[in-house]
Amino acid sequence: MIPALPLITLAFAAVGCLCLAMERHALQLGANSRLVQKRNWLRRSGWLLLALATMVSVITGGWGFGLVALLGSLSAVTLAVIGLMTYRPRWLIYSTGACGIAGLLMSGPVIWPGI
Amino acid sequence: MKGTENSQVAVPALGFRQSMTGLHTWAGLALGWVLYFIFLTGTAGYFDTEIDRWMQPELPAPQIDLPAADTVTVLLARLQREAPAAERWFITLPADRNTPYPQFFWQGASSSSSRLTVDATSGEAFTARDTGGGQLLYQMHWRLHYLPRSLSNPVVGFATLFMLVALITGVIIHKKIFRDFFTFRPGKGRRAWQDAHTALGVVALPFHLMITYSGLILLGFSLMPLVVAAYYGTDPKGRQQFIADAFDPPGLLEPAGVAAPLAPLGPMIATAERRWGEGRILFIDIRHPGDRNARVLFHENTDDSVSTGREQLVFDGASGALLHTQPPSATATANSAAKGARDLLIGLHEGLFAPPLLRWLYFFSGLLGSAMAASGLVLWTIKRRQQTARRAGGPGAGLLLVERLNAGVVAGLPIGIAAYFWANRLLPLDLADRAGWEVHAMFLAWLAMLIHAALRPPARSWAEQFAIAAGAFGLLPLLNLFTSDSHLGQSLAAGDWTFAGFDLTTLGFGLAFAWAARRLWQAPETARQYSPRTAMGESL
Repeated sequence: MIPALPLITLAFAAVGCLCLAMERHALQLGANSRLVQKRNWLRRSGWLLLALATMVSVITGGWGFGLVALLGSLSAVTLAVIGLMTYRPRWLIYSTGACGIAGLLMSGPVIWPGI
Repeated sequence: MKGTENSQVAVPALGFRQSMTGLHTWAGLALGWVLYFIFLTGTAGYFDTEIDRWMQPELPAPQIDLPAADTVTVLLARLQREAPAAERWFITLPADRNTPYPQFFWQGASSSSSRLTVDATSGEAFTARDTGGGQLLYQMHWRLHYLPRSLSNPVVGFATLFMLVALITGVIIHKKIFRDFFTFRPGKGRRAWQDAHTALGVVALPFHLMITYSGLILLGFSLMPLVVAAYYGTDPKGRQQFIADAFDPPGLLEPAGVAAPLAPLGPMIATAERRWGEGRILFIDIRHPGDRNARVLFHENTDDSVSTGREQLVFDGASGALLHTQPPSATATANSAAKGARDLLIGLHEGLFAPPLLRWLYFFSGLLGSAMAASGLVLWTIKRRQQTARRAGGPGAGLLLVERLNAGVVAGLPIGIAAYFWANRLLPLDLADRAGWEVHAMFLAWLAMLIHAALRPPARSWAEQFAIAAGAFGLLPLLNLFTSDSHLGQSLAAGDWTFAGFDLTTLGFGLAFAWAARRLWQAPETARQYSPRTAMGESL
């Protein structure tokens, strides 16, 4: 059984980071924001979180269920990220941070015994 | 306009991209309405058995926890009594959400029964209202209901093929797929619709590609009948032979004509459950019961793998001995790579394996697909409106037709689906062909919406139909309260998530439609939106 919360939070944080790492969207939050300087860091975190989301999904669901769940969750969270980036860009920063921390905490017990 | 900045540098590329744009636009316009219908009714199908339950609230709780041996004994007794001379008895056991109750059918030389759903404890049919249920709703997405299969298969196949073309050309003409990945520029104009259309396509692109390609594979035998005909001939007997060769396990025999009582199924069930686990027999297929050459096929439930291909056990129906398993090795899931690939794609398409989380993701992706088709259709009219505004003279007849059809289809079809649910609860129980009238109600409501859209200005008809849809979906929980005992107060308290989920989902749709209607209603002077001045302003 694939755990919904760790998967969705990690996927959201990953996509949120990748979105904020893009120059266009970082600049949307103000040219002087610290975000612009942290773009490389955000991109790496995004890919790392995506890798963790993949691990959670595939370890608990196997390659078949796992990849279907991963791709489905990425579709859903990407739509949410686009919505927040468009209408509530500040909230995107906070929710990405919160989901990242929650996802990391929740995924630990899932990934650790699986490796 | 898009390619002007590099038109001098890369002329051939521009030509290619332009022709792809033309293909995408016109294929999308011609088939967009059919694709929207296919997407939306198919999406509802991901909750087919949940809809079945809501449409027959009289039925008891699902019987998936009863011992298989008891259920089989009850059903066999009924088959023995009803069709002792049949060539085939087929029993589906209640195993998971896909089959909440046992079902059976039999086939004889001259007659056969339809698939009957029965009570596992008595073997008798439930006394419940006559309905097509969620099954009929989801079957519409490739049978198109009123059309014969000989017509619906090519229509749906053609639409699916061009859906694939539209996806591929869509990716080709989307120049900045990564740079614009998260870009949505809201507003009323063409750019917002363009952004929405591409975002809906890109965000769920893996789903769209999978569902379209696997849809083609599902229709493969009817889209490319000559491949089979080349080896098996064109007559129905040859086709039957092909189906037997491709899908039946080997070792099935013609009847010997010598009577021999059917061996007790109890030990066979025990063998199957030892291999697969308790409650994991999906169906039992008995060929030539009562003959010396009888064969009993057990099929494993597919809920633990994405692919639909699972292990089958073949027993000798006279002696009860296990003859062989199919596929022969434990690691293979199919006899051949081709069958394996087909099983995987069909499994992915149908999503029968999906537990709740995955089921909701499937449903959500399907909604994104429907919205993608709808936004593409609207985008076509928005672009033409702007071009018309710049030219002298009014909009052409084609544009007016598409605008009206869009409102009547995109907003009208959901209203038709809601009408299907209303009819299920409001039609008299003793009405002749009640299940048929439920569907007629759906299509009559849709027809009314198409007429409404034809008579009203498009900007108005969108708002009005969204308001109707808001009521039609939002009030369904109330209808359920008055016409069944499984209303929200009861289902939430009892933790019955089938009924609660249906009511809450339709309530959610009602609120979403209400929000959309309110926005369109409040749009300042909807008529002015299309005036030349504002249209020019938007395009700048």
